[in-house]
Amino acid sequence: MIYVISWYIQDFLWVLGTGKVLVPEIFLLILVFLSLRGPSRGVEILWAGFLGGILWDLRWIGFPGLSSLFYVVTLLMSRWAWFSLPVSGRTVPVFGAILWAAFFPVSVVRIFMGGARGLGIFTTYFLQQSYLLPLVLFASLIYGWRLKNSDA
Amino acid sequence: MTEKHLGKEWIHGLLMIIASLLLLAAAPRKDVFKGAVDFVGEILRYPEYPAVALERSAKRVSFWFADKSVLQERLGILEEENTRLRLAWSVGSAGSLKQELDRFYGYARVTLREPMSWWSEVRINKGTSDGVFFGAPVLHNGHLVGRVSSSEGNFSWVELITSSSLMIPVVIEETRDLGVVAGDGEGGLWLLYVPEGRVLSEGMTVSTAMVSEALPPGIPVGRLSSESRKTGGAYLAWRVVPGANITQLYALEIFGQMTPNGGREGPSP
Repeated sequence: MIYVISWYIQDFLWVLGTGKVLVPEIFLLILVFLSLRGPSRGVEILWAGFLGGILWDLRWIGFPGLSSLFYVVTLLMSRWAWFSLPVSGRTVPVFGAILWAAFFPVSVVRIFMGGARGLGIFTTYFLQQSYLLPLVLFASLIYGWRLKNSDA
Repeated sequence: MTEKHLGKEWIHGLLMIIASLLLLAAAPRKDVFKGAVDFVGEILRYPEYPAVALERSAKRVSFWFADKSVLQERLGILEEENTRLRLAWSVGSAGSLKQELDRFYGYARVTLREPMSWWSEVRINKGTSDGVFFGAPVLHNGHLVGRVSSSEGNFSWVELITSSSLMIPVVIEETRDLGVVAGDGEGGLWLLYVPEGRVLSEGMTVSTAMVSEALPPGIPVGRLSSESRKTGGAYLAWRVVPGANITQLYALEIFGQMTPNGGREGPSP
């Protein structure tokens, strides 16, 4: 259910922005967040990302397979990086760093698909980061809070 | 995470990557996905409706504010234009009043009345070029208000009867008693040198007397009031109420002003 809700929120914001502004990748944020927290839910999350990506492409991009490819690869890489670490190394800053890095490939794709060229790429990138970083920070704080509670 | 989980996950992941790449390979063929794109668009039309409505409302509000801003700007321009037009109209109106006053031959407009010498003198816009000469009596509403004390090309100074330095020989019409009218420099006008014992009363008319050639006789000055005071010797001073409204002087009549053809208006001095 959470996959559907996060996808819908992203779609809602995209409609609200009438496609003129890059909306935050809330769907991917939730997927990566859940995938790093749940070691056994990998397959489920991967399929959610794949289907959500295809649906997004059919709705907005017109290139089916593009978003799904980036979502799946991002999820696989994030999980591989995170679970390769020893448990003691899975700290909140590393969680935040992996989460932030997970957005990079899809962000670049969105910037180019949005038509930004030249200096406009940097402008769009920094604008994108201005709302992405608070989201990553917020997700990291939630992760830290839940980590603390689960330890207790 | 167990090896089994990891292996299963990678297999699923690779399958998805292959599927995505296949879809991407087929993506340039629009006809393959056209139906799917339309279907997804149609299905999502309903859940997306609130966002569309919200976006439309936001746009309407934005347009409303933009329209209001334009209207306010327009209103500002119109108000400014209105002020300018009012000013232009006022200037035109004042100009026409000036022309109206100037059209009356023999009348002169008061162009300066200094507060420090309010009761002593005024400047008028007619001078020697208009036939105004030194000593000419100046009237207001048919009553004497002063005499021309100096005259230049285009303007003259008029010494008022309320000035303490101007003395006018007068006669009381009812009794034919002679006296002199002079001001106190503070707006008061007094009839001087009337011997005690004369029977004078309030309301008697005071006019210029035929004492010298400087002033023509019979020009009304004002009326006696009931107030009197004793001065030096055996004389009484009576307060005179001027016939002219000396506090408000806008246009004055120059008595005996020369006409453009060289003659003089009114009786010869």
